Amino acid sequence: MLLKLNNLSKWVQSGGQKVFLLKDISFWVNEGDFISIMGPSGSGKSTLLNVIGMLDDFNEGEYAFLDERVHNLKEKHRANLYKQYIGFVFQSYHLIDELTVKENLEMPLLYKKHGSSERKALVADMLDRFNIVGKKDLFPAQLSGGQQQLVGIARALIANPKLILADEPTGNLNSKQGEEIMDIFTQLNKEGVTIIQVTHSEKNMTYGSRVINLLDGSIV
Amino acid sequence: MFKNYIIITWRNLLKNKLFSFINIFGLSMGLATCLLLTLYIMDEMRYDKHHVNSDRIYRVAMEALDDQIATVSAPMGQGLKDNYPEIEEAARMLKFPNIDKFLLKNNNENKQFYVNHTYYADSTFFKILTYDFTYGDSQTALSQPNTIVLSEEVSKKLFGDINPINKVIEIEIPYAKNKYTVKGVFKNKYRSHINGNVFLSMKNSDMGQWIDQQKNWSTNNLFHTYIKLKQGSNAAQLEAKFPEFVEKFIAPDISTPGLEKKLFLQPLESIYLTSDIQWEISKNGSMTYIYIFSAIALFLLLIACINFMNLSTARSEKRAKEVGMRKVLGAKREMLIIQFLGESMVLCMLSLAIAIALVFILLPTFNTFVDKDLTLLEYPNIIFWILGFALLTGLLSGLYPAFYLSSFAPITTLKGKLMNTFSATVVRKGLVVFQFTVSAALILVAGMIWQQMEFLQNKDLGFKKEQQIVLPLRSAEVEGKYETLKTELLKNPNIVSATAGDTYPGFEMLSDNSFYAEDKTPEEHVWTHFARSQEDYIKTLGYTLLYGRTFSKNKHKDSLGIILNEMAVKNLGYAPEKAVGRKIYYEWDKEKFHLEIIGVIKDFNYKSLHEPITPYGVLRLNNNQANYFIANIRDGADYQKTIADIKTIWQKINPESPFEYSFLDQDFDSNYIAEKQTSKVVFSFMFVAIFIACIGLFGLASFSTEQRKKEVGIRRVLGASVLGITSMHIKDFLKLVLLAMVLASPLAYYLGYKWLENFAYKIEISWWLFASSAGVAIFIACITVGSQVIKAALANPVNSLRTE
Repeated sequence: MLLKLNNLSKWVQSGGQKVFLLKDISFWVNEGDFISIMGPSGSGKSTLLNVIGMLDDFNEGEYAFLDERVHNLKEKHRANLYKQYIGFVFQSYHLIDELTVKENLEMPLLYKKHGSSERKALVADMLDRFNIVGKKDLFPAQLSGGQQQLVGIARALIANPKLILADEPTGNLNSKQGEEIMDIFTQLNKEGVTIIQVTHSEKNMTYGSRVINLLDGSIV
Repeated sequence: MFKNYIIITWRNLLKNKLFSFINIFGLSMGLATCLLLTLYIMDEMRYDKHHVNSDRIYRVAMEALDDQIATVSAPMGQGLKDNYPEIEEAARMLKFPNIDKFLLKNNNENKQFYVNHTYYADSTFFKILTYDFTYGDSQTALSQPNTIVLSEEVSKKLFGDINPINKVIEIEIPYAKNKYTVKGVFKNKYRSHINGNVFLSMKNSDMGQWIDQQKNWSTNNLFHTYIKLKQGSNAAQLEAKFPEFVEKFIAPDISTPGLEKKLFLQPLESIYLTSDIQWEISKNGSMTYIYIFSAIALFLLLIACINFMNLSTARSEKRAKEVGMRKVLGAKREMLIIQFLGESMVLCMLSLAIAIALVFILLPTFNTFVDKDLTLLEYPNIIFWILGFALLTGLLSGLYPAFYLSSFAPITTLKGKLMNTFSATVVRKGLVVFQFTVSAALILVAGMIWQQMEFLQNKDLGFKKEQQIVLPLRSAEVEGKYETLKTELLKNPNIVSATAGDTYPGFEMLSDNSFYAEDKTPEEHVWTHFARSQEDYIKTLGYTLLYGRTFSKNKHKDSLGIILNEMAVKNLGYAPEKAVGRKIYYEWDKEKFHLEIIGVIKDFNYKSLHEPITPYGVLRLNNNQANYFIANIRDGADYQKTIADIKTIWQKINPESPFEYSFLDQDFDSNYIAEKQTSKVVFSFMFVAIFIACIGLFGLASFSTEQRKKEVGIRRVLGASVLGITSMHIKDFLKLVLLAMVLASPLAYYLGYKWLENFAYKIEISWWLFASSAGVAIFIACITVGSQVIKAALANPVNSLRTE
């Protein structure tokens, strides 16, 4: 089992009352799963994803990742954990505008203390694998949306994570580009990478092996 | 990783060219001014630090009548040394009263010129004080009679590049003409409060005899006396023994009853910056100005740093995504802090390069402002200062943004929801207020200084300061021909009146004495400064004669006559209108002498306006020993031509003596040199401060309008006018500027008040100065902010709304 959530809740205080963002969430993810989280706007999909990615806190319940009890971990350990095992893909790509494709890909490695030649080799691998060698010296603004998301995925993959968290990865793309991205996810999943995606689209949902439906913070 | 940081820094610089420019240029202005002022301060601090064992060298000074005097009587130096074994060596130096320049002649090569700062010194002088001799031996240079030591410049002028040791030159002063043998040449490379160009031996044919006759411990206090203590002796312990010394030696020689004298020691190293007492060798520096300049330097640097902090935090929204992404990708907070600090360091280094270029460009102008000859690399350790400044600046300006930017939680920044938090806004506004407080305070202080300087120039001093030309009478040849010179010059229709005297207003008065009135005791004396003059002194200088008469043509008739100012007369106890014909008395060597009041003149400022009017008198010279010839030039006369005429006459009468002249008003105003320098420095740095603060405000205003673009668009769609939107934005900034004015006013008032305390006569600090300064500050702020805001307000709202 890769991760397990047990009765997890998250709320904010508003006007003296608890407003639940997530309520009593329990599920588990095995290695090699491809899970889609579905639900209408405001149902807590992204919040759940952020909690899984350890970018966000929760108030109650338990969360175990690779047998580490995340809710008991200090900030520093938690950061080490997600740094090592989790890659993120965002709807609006979040590439750094001032860096070229190559430099964007290199960045996660810089924070993991890889040697210079090793970084070069890994970046070259990724550029090759996603067929973007020719774009390596371009800046994000010079790429189409689909190409930017490709770089985003490459960046998430470069540190060889066990889990990829994708928050509406095709939300800003047209359908053709979206299909290409989803094909890549399928391919990755076949290679053994666990994927959790948040999506609105019924079509994208079909790529996944399991669906979790959220409504007002609870699983339905 | 490091390369990655550099890349990001560089691309960010290029991406926001305007803000990079504001940041870098503002910082370099701040650094450049800081460097200039540091050069000045370092130069001032360097005085007299070079002497071997300088910590053991002291100057003996005296206190009498609440006045501190830098000189003591002739026997003092040797007397102290004989009585106190802890004194290793003593030396006297004599600055000849009222002769500011000596005429030096190399008769072999027919070269002659005047040299100032020419002093007589004991043979031990160079044993105590360190001079770097190019030629000759400093230890024996002045041990023979009629020997002389020259500075390199003087030696070059007299002899060219050769070694002049044992060559003979002639020196002419009004009283004598003598031959001296050159025994040493020194490099003028050290800074010292003793600014001598030429040192003459004390034992010589002209002065030697007179100096040897000075056995009185209490009179003719003309000698700057330096002592060097033995290793391990304590100056305070020595000072404690002085009262007993004064009692034993000096007290018996004091002729004025009730007059008490005290001796004290001044450490050599601190004389230049801390001593401002009577009879300094020349005008010393002042710790006050060191403080003022340091404060200006520090504040300017702070203002520039603040720009940096403000612009960095204001731009945080643009950097927030990067911060968030870096954190998601595993950056720790420390790494981000290092990154952002590094960025500010890089910017500082860039600014430093520009600042150094600026210093090179501005140094000549700055040198004329402060009357110095500074060069950037004169002191090697300036390099450490420069690097220190740059690092400090980088740290100061980078620390807050680094902590602020690195504190963002990744998820909020990635959602793009980062709003400027309340605390960040408050800090930013606080910093703007601080900047404008400093700028406004500088505007106010500069205004006060300007008003006072105007007042000094224009105040009616009670005599005729303008149109007076002064010819120094420095040689025996000239002195004897006073009458001829006067007769010849008065034939020129442009010269109204002429006279001569041993001094003129604005000069330090050498002669003083204590007088007492008829029916009074010697204890009820009045200290009075006096000048000695030829006839027409009162008329030429335009003093107002109230009662009695001025001196007659006959020298001997008035030899006991004195003309007093009202204050002297009143203090003596006479009514001014009845004083003429009354006698005043003084004692000399236990004998009683008298003078007769022949005239009373109106009080006037014979000293600079730093000092109040005190009792003053004029005596008649009974020989030709006047030091200055003064001629009053007719209103509307052609100066150039008149001076050329005077020169022709002078050269006809005194073919042996070079012609030199000055204007009395300029000489008088030279008392305000320190103030003029300060006002120039304060004025120019006020402009720098305003400029830096304004570009900061400009940058901030353009960010705030950028941020409120959407709001402006909505308001416009809903019908707001351009004027309304503009004034709404400007009001935000005006509040800050007004707050700054409120904070700056008491601060500036206090500083201005302190500065004005240096003057006995000063302006009232007026409310309209504050009002007009506020006006200026508001005007500048409006222009700076307005240009940005109007642009935003005029923009088509559709465009700004479409960005959503």
